[in-house]
Amino acid sequence: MNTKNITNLLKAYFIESWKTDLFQFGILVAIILFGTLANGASMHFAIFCATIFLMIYPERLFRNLHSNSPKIHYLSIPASNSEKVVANMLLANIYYVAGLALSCVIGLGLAHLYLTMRGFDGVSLQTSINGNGILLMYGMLAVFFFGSVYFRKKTTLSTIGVSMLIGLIFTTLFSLVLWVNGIILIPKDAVFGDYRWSFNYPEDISERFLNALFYLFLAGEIIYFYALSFLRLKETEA
Amino acid sequence: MKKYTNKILIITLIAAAVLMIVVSTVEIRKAFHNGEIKTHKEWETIHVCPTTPDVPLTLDSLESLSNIEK
Repeated sequence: MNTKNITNLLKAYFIESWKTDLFQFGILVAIILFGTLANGASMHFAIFCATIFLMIYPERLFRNLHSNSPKIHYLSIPASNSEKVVANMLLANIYYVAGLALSCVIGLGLAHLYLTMRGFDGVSLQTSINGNGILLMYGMLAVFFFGSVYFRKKTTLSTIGVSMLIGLIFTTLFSLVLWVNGIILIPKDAVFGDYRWSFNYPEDISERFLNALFYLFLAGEIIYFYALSFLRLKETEA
Repeated sequence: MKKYTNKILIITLIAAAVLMIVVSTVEIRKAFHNGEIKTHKEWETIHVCPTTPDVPLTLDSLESLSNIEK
């Protein structure tokens, strides 16, 4: 991996799409402002909009991969796949997130100015976002990043659809497990609805341990999806 | 180059599903043997009506209760 190649890739990206990015950040600021006019400014609304922007972004990062002739063009850029993945990871994880955060701050700031000038209360900065939320957002970004490399067209929608399908399958499986265990465990002469499933939260497990487990799982998930994106890009090249 | 991505994805999904089934089955059985899965009767005595009221709930008794509050 050559850092010069990564720098060149980043430069090429900025030359190509700084206008689009600025336009998108502008749209986010405008949405937050108009959202304020409609129903009062809030941090939650800004974060919600920014998350949607973040979901769509990887599709743009790899847009050259989604049609045939630019695909060859993209694959023939003189940089290795790992360099391309790392450059795009930097763009998605640092640059774009920072841009969105800045747009949120500007949008909320303008909204605050507008509200206070009209004599209303300012923007409430109360939010439920914390370390877990931010990590969850990065985990989601990794999934969409992989989706944008994996699928050929409409990658954001495909990723959402497939994720929902997998979620549905797992929920069905869990219901099946409950049902089968109910048949096995609950006595045959029990009247329907006699038993009630209720699991007591194990008290001997500390919250810190659960948090650590959550962080480990998400870190693993993020590494897994970026590694798979790299592998998939390599396969596309072959 | 051999294509590994699909295989890795499928293996991960199957592994996750098997893990989910095994863990949830074990947990459900543990809960059942510890008595955490209750009959409705047990549940109601614990959560809904901790003590049965001595006074039958009628309109008159309610009125007398509100008089006490006054």
